[in-house]
Amino acid sequence: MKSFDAVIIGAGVVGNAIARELSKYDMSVCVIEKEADTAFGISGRNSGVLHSGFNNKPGTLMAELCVQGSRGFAGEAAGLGIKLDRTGKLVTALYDEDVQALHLLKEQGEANHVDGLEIISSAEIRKINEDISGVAALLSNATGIFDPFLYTIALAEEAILNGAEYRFLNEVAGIAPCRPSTGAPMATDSRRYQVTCVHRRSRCEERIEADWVINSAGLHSDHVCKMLGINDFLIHPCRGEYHILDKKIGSKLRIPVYPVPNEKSGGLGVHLTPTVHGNLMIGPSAEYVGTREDFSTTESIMNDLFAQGSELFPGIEKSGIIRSFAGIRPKLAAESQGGYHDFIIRESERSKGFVILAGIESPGLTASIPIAKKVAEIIFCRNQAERRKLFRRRIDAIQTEEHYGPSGSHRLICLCESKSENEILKAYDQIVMIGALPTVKGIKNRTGAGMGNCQGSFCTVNIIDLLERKRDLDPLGFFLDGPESYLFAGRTR
Amino acid sequence: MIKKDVVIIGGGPAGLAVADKLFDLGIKDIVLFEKEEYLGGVLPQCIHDGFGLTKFGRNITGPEYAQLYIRRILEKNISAICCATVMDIYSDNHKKYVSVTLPEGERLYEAKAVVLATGCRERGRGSLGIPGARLAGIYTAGTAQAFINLKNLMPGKRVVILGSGDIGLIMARRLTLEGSEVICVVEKEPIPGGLKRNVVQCLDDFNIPLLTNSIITNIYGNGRVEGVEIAASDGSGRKNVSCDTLILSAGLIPENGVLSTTEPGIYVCGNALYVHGLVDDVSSSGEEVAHAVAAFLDKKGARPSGGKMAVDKESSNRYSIANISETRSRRQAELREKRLRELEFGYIKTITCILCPNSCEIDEELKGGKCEKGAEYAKAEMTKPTRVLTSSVKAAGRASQLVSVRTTKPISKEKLKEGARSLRELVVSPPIYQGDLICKDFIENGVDLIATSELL
Repeated sequence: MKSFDAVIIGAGVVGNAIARELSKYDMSVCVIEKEADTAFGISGRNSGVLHSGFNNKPGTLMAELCVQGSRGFAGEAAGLGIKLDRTGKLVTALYDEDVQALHLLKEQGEANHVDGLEIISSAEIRKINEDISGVAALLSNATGIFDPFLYTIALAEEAILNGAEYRFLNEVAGIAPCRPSTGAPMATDSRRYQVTCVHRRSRCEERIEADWVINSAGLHSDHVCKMLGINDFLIHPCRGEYHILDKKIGSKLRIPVYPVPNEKSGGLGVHLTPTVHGNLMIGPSAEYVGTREDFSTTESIMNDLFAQGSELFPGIEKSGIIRSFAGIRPKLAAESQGGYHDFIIRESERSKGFVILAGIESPGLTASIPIAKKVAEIIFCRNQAERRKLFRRRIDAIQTEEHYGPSGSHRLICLCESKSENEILKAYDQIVMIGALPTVKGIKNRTGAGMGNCQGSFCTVNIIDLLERKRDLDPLGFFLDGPESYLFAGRTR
Repeated sequence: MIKKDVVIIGGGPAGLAVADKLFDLGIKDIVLFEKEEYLGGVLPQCIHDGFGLTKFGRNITGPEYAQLYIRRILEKNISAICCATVMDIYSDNHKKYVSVTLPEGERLYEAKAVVLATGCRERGRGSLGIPGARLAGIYTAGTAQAFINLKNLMPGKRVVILGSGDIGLIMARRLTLEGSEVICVVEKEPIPGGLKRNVVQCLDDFNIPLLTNSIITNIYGNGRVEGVEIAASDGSGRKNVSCDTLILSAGLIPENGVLSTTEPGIYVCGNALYVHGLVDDVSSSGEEVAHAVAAFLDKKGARPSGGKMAVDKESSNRYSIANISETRSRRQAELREKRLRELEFGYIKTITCILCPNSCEIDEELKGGKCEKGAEYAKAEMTKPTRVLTSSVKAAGRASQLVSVRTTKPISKEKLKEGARSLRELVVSPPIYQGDLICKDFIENGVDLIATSELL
């Protein structure tokens, strides 16, 4: 049986940030993920905004960790080798009666020590972009945008670079307290656990022992808690749908524009967000749904989103929509309560050594590294911090290691996003390197190939042909995003 | 930097025709860029017949049509560079610059004139706005066609096709011949989008239902498509249809996004201008533009040799960048009118002649054909209907290698499926050249199976 100092459940942005934080220490870490790759869950299904922290109630973990995350992000992004675009952000008041809310948001932000907040007039809004609606707006200069896929992937790669192990396509089937070394189950105040996981393709079962089990299972964090008899909270899935618009429209708006938030809603309101790739997103809606797995988009919301986006920025056109998708917020606040419940980040009282992270919805992406540091604090208040070791940065690996290097053919495979043969092959190698299952989506998340106007109708054929020739990939064993999503039914001949 | 008189972007039927014609007009300092590894554009994957009827008076397949032009380019020693993607076209002080990415890196060309022959792309799920889950098993028709015909991969077994454009219709037949079940074709308009002859030979021949005035309102499944919800175009009468694949054939969008200038001397032709129904017309459009380019170079005194030529102003202007949208809207109006006419006369009981794109309606008295072939076809159709079989065979070597083939004569319609099935056993060894005999007396005596593509 394999044994680790810590097992982390979930390779989303929070799980990866924790794995990376713990890998700074002399500590063996294993991350268990049920999907084929990292960032396949809600970490990759959001607006990709670095929040400055004015939306959250002073005194909450959400506010504290969001502001910390925002302040430290530029430095972390540089070390991870990813881009941050400090676009600023506007919350616009469409009507005079909304202006008061802007002042309240600004005061709240200042109480959270957010820098660079100002209320601007409609004339000043027009100076930023003459097509943005609003009688006044709150301008947050510290807000930015980044690629949530690459950020989440980079965290995992940096964790692995420093010794963390990843197990993909492994679903946690059970967690049981156990006596050190013997493996026999015992009382719940135990400090050691046995985690049973089942591989989704081979159905092979594996038991892993650990002193620390960290539940960063996102949408499924309540289910994982139940495995140890912990029923303190329930996740209320709240779906948010988005449209992605093409770059023609994306080039017209390069600053996120939000409406004044509605306190009762499950989200910040349908907003417009430019992406680092140059597109524009409209969304997300906020709809409490019974399911945690159904990322479908719906007819009525797809129509509503467009209407709501047009109120903020009339320059959008329906013909510019190239894709629609949905994310699901893992909310602790039920629909009847509305609004936000603070993050839960704590060691279980009853099950020592079991760390619970729950309700990590927005601004969880921004706060991910401070959240991880908080978890490290929980662990190292008992285990001393002198176990720090040399920490390798991903940016250094990018400059030296082959699977990042710029050698090979520059021939363009993806025309819409200008991605070369070389970049596709490197992405494939990076997927293999972290132990994930190579998929069309994994390559898309890493390179952007298939995110453009043709949505893969040209490049998918060439990507598969390239991987078949240069990496011996069998197309019949290649998937869109997971083991059920096979691409082909067989050979023609 | 490399200087050229004309840079042509795109090595499909339009670009090939431009290069060929420019050369004949005495403009020989030209270069053509193609993004794929081969010339011909989409033609190599269009292994069915029906090409070349208006331009060459012959019924040939896509790969054969492409080869006619590729051969001319090779014979004239015209510089055609594959795996070359144009990233930007801009102008500075009336000079035009083309930045191109090659396997070894970027290169800049300076040209007196630039022709965009970049073709079109397929409308995808995003712009069609179909709700539901994001699943494997959703392909545009052209992508599915490339997988089946070029990469030896079958997209699925139980297929619903959205949109009755020509590629969708062709794919319905292709999938059926290869053993997949095409459950239905869903079309939101009251009439099919593709040519009548394709409705006859791709759907009617195989009893594939065409649901007009219908839309898809949901896609469901777990990882892979498990079904779609089909409704009337007003959203009523929703019902679930189980399938593992959804193929989209709901429109093509001209591709001319690389431009950052409207400088005179930049031309557009073929499907990048507007989507043509026939490849023959795409070639003609390329030839016309070659004349316009020659006239432009003449005017600038830049043309190396040859006398002045007469180009009517209207056709010259049509292809200039500034007039794209006007040409396109005029074309759309023409199409709308044509479809309405079809709707009006579409219900007379006739036999549609499938021998050429005219799709003449032959009545019971064998009248209605624009040529004498119509009557012959209708007569045969009533007694012993026949069709040319187009398909592919496996080549020895890499699993994805295929050679496309066709019968030299039409075979009995009933034997099409049997014929395609029998090809599954066949493996050919390269080199194979176009026209090579693959199988003698195939299915019927006196009918041969020949290669339509080459594999060296």
